[in-house]
Amino acid sequence: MKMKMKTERGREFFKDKLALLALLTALALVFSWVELLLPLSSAVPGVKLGLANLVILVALYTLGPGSALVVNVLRILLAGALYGNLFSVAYALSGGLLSLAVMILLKKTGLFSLAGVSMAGGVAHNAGQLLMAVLVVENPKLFLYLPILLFSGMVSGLLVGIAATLICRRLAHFKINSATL
Amino acid sequence: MFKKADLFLALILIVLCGGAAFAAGFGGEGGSQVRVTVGGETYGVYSLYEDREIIIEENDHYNKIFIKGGAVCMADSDCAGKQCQQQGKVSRINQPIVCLPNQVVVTVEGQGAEVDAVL
Repeated sequence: MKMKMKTERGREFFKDKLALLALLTALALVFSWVELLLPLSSAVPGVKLGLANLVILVALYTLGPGSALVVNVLRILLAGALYGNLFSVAYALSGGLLSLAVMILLKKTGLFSLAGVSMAGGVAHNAGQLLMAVLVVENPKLFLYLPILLFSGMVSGLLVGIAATLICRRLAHFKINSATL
Repeated sequence: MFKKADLFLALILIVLCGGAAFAAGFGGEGGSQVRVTVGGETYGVYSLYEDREIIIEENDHYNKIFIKGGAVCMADSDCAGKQCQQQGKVSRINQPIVCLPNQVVVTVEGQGAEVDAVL
């Protein structure tokens, strides 16, 4: 009897978490698309808000690094299939994975706030994208864009981080985290 | 919302930016020739001081580059974002014009750079 209840609870946990991850992925996709609609890109390629990272951060801080990774990778692959191409997937993956790795590491130290982690994540995101771009066009002169990309990554990361902090505070009321799912 | 450590992090990142800007040689001097690379391979090297129109039709992509009045700019392209066309006129050695989707990079070089042929 107890074994049966345990398995059922385990299956329910999995179903709930699966549904939540799917929801977050869809949300991140929508945020990416909205960002494409906003005419904010400047003359420098790679300057953008990174709104989808809002969802990734919330996932990281409420559900954990594994969930954040799943949502991030799925979001990038789907966005690439829907409104991108192979190259945009490559840039987004290199930026997104490096950014997530940095954020997971910084979060683990426990020294920085969510906004600080996001700020570093934004920088890492742009650095990763620039690195991939240099590899693709095989022209190291692209690194000349590094200063402006690093700085804009900081600013956009900070803004997204502030928003994510506010959201996580609200979510705390709903007690959504891995333990209670 | 913030911690003290965030401030240090921000400072470190800013220093990194500054270092990158310094290493990149912010601004740079004027150059004398224009190198156009497509997909990493040099497509051509041209004099910065001779007005010229360069049309690139490689890999089913189209780019048009103007060299005029000692500066080079991307006049036209068939890429989706057209960010390359917004990069303006370049005449210094540390400012490339990049069309990432078409893999076209336009850089200005000074004297003494390796030259295959100056057209």
